[in-house]
Amino acid sequence: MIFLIFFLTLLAFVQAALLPVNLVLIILLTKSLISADIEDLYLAFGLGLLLALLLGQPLGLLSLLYISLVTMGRLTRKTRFASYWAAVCLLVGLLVILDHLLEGILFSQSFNVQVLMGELILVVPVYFIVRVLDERFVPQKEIRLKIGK
Amino acid sequence: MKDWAKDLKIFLILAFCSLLLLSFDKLGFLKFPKSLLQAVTVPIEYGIYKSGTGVSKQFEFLWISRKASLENKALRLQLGEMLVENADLRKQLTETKIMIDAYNKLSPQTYDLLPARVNGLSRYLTLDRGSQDGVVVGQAVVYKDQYLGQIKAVSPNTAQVLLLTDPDSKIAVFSQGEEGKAKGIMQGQFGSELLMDKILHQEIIKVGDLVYAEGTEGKLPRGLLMGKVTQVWERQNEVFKQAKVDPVYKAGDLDVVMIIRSS
Repeated sequence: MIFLIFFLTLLAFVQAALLPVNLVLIILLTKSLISADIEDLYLAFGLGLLLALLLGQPLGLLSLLYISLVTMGRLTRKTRFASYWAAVCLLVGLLVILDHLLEGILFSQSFNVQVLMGELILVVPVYFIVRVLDERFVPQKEIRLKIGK
Repeated sequence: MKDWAKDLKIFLILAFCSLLLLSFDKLGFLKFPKSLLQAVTVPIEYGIYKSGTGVSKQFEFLWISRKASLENKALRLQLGEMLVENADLRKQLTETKIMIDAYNKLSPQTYDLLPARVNGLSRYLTLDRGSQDGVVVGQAVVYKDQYLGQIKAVSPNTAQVLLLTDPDSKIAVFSQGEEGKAKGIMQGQFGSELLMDKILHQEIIKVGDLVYAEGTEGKLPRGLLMGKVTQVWERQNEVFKQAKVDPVYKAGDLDVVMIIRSS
């Protein structure tokens, strides 16, 4: 988790200084659909505040937007279609589009189609990377079997 | 259900905190903490930005050099095409000038002139026009108003010219000078020399007189210039006089000539 926080913080700086692609949100949304960690909401809140500070936007708006999107992701995680990778990528893509629309309304900025297309393309490889890292490096809770009477 | 409720609870708490921070920020209460934080984040952002631009400049150099190489290749190609076009235009200009000169000397209303490019010169002059262009055996070949020879052989795209200086060439001519006129037969000699033979003793011919075609051969117009008299041989024991004639233009120096198709 510490490594994830450090990595996402670095990514937030890179996003603010170099690449306009919202990789932080894509990783958060993908993670919220793969794993059941409640820390995802805290991460979304904290990174939203950090990004707002770095991008010179009003504090609180971006964090509210991010926690809303992550909560939507978490709610759909328990549905049946969320076990298919294509459905997950599609859902993350829709949430990214929603984020662009809401940011456009909240911050009065125009819709950048090229950046959006880039982010949608990145959803698939990010999903697989996060999935592999989650399965291989994140310790899962032990499953306790109930043995009959 | 418990999980959903827990999620909703945390979401509401975080949303409330976000709205609180937003209202404090709008009211200006967070200016000082923001400036303190930005004192830390701005140098980090700057460092990342500078590193990123440094790396992209390395790749930019590769891209620029590749672009320059492609541009260079395209420009070379364009230069080659322009040189070819320039050469074509120069050729056309030369041809046009020669045609204008020819039309000034030989009226196009009288003569049907066909420009032809010299392709080769051995014993015969080879031209790049042939039967496809209406060239037939016997037609006269001129340069400006000077007679060069007549068509000896024709193929679809080329023609051979029997030059005036060829020993097989015999043309009826007359000389014109200040003191008088003389008639004779112009015969070619090997080595680009011309001999005007069969000149009667009583007819006057001097060095410097100009020699013209009689036009009695059919396809040869009268009045075409043959050359200039450079020497006269007069022997009392001979029946006729002879004169050496030099052509004004040498066939080997010419690029474009005219074929008289009809008159």
